Amino acid sequence: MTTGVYVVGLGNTDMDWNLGVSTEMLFLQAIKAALKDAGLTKQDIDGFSGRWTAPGGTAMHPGSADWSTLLGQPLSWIGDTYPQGPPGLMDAASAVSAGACTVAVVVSGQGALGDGLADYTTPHNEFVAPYGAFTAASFALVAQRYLHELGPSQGAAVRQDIARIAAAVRNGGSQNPEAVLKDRGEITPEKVLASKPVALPLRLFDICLANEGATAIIVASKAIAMDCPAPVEILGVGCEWQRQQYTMAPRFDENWTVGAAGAEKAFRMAGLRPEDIQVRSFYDATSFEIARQFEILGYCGFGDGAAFAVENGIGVDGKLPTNTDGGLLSYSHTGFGGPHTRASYAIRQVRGTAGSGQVAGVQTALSCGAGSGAQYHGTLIFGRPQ
Amino acid sequence: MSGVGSQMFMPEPSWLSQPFWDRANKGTLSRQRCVDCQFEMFPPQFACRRCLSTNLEWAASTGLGRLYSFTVLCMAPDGSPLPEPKILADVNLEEGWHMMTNIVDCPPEHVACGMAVAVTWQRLSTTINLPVFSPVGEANKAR
Repeated sequence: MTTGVYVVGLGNTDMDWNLGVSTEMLFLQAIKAALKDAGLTKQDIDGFSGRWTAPGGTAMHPGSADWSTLLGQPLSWIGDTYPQGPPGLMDAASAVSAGACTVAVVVSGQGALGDGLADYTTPHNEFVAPYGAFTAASFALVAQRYLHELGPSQGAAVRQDIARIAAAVRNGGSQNPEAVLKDRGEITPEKVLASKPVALPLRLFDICLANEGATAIIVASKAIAMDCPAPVEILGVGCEWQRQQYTMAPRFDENWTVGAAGAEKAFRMAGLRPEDIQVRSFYDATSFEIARQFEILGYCGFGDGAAFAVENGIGVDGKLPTNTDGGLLSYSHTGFGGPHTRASYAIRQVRGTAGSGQVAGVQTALSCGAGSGAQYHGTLIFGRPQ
Repeated sequence: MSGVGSQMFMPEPSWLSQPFWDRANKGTLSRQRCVDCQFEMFPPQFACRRCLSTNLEWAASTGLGRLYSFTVLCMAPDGSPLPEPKILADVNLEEGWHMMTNIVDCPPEHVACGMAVAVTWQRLSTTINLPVFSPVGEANKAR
């Protein structure tokens, strides 16, 4: 059985570096855009999930967002999910279907990075940080062992195919006027493999952005959704947390399959199989993760993800369109909002409003959040209202 | 030693990790072991993550293990280029636990999954002695 809960509003801010405003202001921009999109007003909101910048507005620090005061009415549900995307929308859908609230806003993103580095990229844990670890390096530890398990011959071929995947996603981003890395010309697999080494086997073009921007998604019950202009049903969701991330080395043997059980649950809830999905919004924290998600979501067997993606084609005209907006690699990665922007792309595909990356006739799309290096992963499945 | 300097992150031991750093300061690598189910555990927890027993002990390791995985870092966490590449690694210790660490005294082109390694130490302060690993046996001969 599907969740019976609908996305009724969607709002994205500009995605870029140096937007020049605080995270709170970006959240507000996204919320206003989502309300307008839904044809709702702030008086309609009775549920709110906006961890970062403040857990529901209860942080009690000067300047922290107090959303219930700003919205002007008491809320009947406050979420504090980490992060948004699959977990946040799962919680909000649960709250709506349980009757805890009727219209919930789920918002995430980040602002005011300036020229600085997003804080989450650098772990502060005492058993990780002294060794020079950072987010991409954690994903690299898993990727390296993956190549080792495949052996030198297949490993080398997979590395080539993963460069083709990264190029395909980045070319989608280059053609997307909303992307942080728009108008970058053609990216070839050779350029990916020649890009600056960061945490080998990962090179610069294998690794996602860390930029500013925010995404707000409003979910509501069916009764409300049917009066909204463009409802999209949350058909299924499934999440899996293996461990608090970035406190120890993630491992291929424990973490390569993280999210498989959650995805299976999401497919079961939706009553769909992987081949029923027209567009995938994978969490491309790294290019290797796209191959991984094809494997763990049940599209192909272990070790076949990269070749499978290349053979079928993941571009707009491919058999398996995936991250045609440029993904986290080129469109946008707003930190804890990353999984939310991936959900936004899938919702837009179902609505037919995904811009340059739009695939024709989309009935269902899925989005994912997090990955092997983070040691947790979630899957959402969206569809047109029946 | 490359990549180790003023920008080095300095661990601040917690009540949970103090025994690890106290032993490290004397040159002993150690991890927790569950007295009830013998589970080998690192990093430290307040209960056994296999059986939830709080009957835990700190046990010394031989410091010998094999490289499970690695990445050659060319960039520092702050995004600045490293003066020379640094090897971030995940080492399987022979007692059946693993830890994130660095591989030192090994050119990046010689590092490989499965290679035998042994603990060595980098003193960061009077109280923090950081365990890192270097190749032993055949890997050393290959250099």
